[in-house]
Amino acid sequence: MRKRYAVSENTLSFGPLIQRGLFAAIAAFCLMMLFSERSQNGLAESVRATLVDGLVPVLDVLSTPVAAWDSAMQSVTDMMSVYEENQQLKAENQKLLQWYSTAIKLQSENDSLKDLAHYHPKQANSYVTAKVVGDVGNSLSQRVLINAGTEQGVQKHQAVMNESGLIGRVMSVGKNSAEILLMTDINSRLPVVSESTGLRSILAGNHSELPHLSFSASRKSPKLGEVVTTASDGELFAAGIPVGKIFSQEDGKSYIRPFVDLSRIRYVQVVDFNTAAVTR
Amino acid sequence: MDAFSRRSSFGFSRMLPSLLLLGFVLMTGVVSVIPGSTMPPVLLAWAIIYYWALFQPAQLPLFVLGLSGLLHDLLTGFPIGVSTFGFVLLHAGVMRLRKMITAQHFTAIWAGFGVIALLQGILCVLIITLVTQRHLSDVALSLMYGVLLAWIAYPVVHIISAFIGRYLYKSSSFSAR
Repeated sequence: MRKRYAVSENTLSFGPLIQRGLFAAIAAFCLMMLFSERSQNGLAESVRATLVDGLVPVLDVLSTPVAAWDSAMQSVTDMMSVYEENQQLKAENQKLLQWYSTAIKLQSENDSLKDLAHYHPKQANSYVTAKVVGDVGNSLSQRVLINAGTEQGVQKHQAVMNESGLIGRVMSVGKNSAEILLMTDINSRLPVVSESTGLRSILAGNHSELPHLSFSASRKSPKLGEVVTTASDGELFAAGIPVGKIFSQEDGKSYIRPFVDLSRIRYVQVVDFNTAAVTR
Repeated sequence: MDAFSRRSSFGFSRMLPSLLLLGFVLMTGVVSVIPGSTMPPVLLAWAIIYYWALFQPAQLPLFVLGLSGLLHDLLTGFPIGVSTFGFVLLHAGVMRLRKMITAQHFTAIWAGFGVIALLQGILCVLIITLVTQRHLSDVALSLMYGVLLAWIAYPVVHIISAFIGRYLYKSSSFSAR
């Protein structure tokens, strides 16, 4: 049986001339934004930052029940593995106690060596703690939105990390919000160094969970399981921020498993390594 | 019911299609907010625009389309302008074909959405590739998956929209009395 649908003969609420004018204005705005994005002159970025500023309070409200659900699910998973986790923590605690005594010895040795060399320590870095309110993560981009911006001291290019290690860097900043480019995003490039072999390379995002090392300065390849930290080559990040471990090596590429579970970040620290002086 | 409440109820009901579109666009954001979700943006907004441009085009004003497009770009991480331009273009394009499509059976309307969404997807892929200078295959795979999911979900959007459309028709005839 063919079912026919009624078509409303409603006319548009504005006159056709105004409609055409509005259509042309929207099309012109879009083209301007797209050209700006292509030429990277900063206009599209500042428009995005302003709009995100307005959107962040809405996303903050929307993300609350989702975060509560996620937290509840996490609690259930944690409860199911509480015995194994307890055993693991006991073993880790034993190891940490041994390391603690070693660290105290090394600290006093380090202090006396610093005194001998008249070493002046660098100024401490300042940081801002912010909540992740939106995850713009899909197969096209890997970014998150946080509820801190220029008013809280966040600046473009600053390093973003949490207690486990590096997350990414600030891509654009609004008054009370900022967009963070995760290290797994295809546009992310970070100078890194392999801890034990000392190989310097660039960590490139590829939209998978495992970013890879590229443009290695040496023909040697890092070892499996080796820890990778940030290098100070780009002068944007301080050296030594833990990034991840070499997880696999395929076709001459080394893939890194980040220390931070990037799918579960709720709070982040935006650290100021005096990047303003470098990027100005 | 007095004249004022009748008029305000009618005013609210006229806003329903716009609210539906904005709600679905925000839902794209909520889906993205789910930790660990790396699924492509489901382009349900296209399905809503398609339905309303076909049956009651006046219910989705241009500024609502523009606003929803901006919101969609922010929530999906597309370059600003891609969805805004896409939404407006989709609405204008479908409006030109409405007399031809609306006379058809539902399956033809559904198939029509598939074709139009595919064309719209190709246009978006080309714009994003040109603007972001990314690999065509990378963008195409993600967007076409989103188009496919939207096409699968179209009947649900159609039913919800038809329900709202009937409510709108009832409230307008009640208000005219």
